[in-house]
Amino acid sequence: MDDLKKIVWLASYPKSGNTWFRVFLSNLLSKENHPADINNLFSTPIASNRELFDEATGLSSSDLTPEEIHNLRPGVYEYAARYSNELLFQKVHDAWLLTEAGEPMFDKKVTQSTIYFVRNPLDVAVSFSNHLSKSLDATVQIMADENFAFSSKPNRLHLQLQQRLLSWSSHIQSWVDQSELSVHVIRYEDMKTDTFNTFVKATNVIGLKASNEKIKRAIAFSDIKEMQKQEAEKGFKEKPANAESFFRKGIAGSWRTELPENLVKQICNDHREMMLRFGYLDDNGNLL
Amino acid sequence: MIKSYTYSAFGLIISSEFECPELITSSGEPDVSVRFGAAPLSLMNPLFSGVRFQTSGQEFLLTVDKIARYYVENGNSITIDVSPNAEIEEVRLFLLGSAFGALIHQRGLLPFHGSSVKIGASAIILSGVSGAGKSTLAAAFRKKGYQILSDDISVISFSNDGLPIVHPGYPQMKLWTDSIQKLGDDPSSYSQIRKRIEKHNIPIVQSYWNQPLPLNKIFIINSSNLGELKVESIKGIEKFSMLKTHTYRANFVAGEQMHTKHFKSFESIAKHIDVCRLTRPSGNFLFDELINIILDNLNG
Repeated sequence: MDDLKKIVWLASYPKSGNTWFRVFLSNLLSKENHPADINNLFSTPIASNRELFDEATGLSSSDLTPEEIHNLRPGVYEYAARYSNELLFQKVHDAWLLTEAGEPMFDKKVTQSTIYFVRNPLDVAVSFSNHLSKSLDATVQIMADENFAFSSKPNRLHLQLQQRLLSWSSHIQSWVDQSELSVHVIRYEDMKTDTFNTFVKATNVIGLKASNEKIKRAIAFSDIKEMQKQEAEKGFKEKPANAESFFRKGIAGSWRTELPENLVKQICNDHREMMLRFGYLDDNGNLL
Repeated sequence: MIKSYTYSAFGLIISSEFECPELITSSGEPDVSVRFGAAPLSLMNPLFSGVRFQTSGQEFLLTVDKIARYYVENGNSITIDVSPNAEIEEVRLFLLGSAFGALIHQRGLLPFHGSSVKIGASAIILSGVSGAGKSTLAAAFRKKGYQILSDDISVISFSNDGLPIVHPGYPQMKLWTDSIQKLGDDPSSYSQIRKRIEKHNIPIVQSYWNQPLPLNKIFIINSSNLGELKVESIKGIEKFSMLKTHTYRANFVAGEQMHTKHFKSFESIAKHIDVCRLTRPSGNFLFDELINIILDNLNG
């Protein structure tokens, strides 16, 4: 690999199947005959990793303003690509945005491929509420907040760099409608109902060569029950401290029993256009 | 003639063209001279380049946009090319961080990423990734009456027998608003490191230990969402990799000679010093419990 196109972006709004896919990848790339350890996954670091930033820039991000950090991040990924001999998988929860200096934060010159995971926002709300340890009402508000960001409290040092997520709809739009990168969109619901084909397509997009047998085995090893079992036994280091568990139900449609009617309406109202576009609402505004 | 100020910091005598109020004034023949002047825009033949630095070992360049370029040579000279309208406090912030980090590497000393605390007749280093709580835990020790040698960068040299020695940095800590409040203090009493960043300069002259001390142990702090609080000794290959990971700006080291010297530093530490992983529950900072578990570990 002599050019810089080495990064595979695994991008999503939180709780949309990103970690499931990373567990699948770990199992696909593993030579072992048992499921990969969820606490020791094949390296798919998050793009907002503070340590990588400090190493790449030679500066302490804790001495820089959020805008200064944004402006340096494209260079950080170029650095990572320059010094890597292999594909780099980067999990991303940031929206696809330009830096204050006008550069794409996730640039095509370092990009090998981009996979974007999308999930029914009604299910995202339920899962995200557990993840954030916030009420469903508050979570639905966050999903509509155009200024929402992770790690953004100015009074303390966060382990990760600030990530601007925007609203659920704007997050999708930022990745899917930008014109720099070609994006392969995966719906969580298709990962559930058409698992094999969905994962085969994704491995083809990344250019990973794997037999059907190998893919089937990796799918079996990354079953939600396996992840839940491992989390119950040893915990999961990526779980937020206050959340009860990371791998919760892992099903499509749990909103039907867990989300009150008024919030279902609220979400459909807030995110109508994107819900229509990704098949969560039909043309008459009925839930699918 | 240009006025010059003499200070001591990181175990070095520094002559500076400008005032550095966070440093202790000193006298004697300087090891390092810091001046304003023209710095190159880039190095001719760098051995390694990062996003904002270039290094060829004994020559190093750091660029901090809209603040300054720092040209560091031969472990004894730093030339600062200040950007128009930069605040001098900001110029000093990156001087006393990355620029001195590069200079310390050039001198063949080891800048370790962590804060050091005097316990008994020796020092411990509290290390870990940014945000793990190195400075905050050191500040908690200080509140209990312990003396601090250094915050954020702990300079290690080696005796003739290869025993690691920790050098005092300078009498200031940097803490975020949240940490200061958790320690029961008022952030508004302290200046901010930069106007837009809620991290403050805490002068610690009264509780500063200004003499080198033998290194006793290194604790690598990490947080766990399982609520665990424990100390465990790190062995073998992982010990080596932890030392490398937590070296301050390890990738400023370039060239065979510097790498060899650097590797020897790790060997000496690995041979003589216990490196422990200190796991704390994420979310809440249990100061007393953390201090006690460290003291018990040192006594055990």
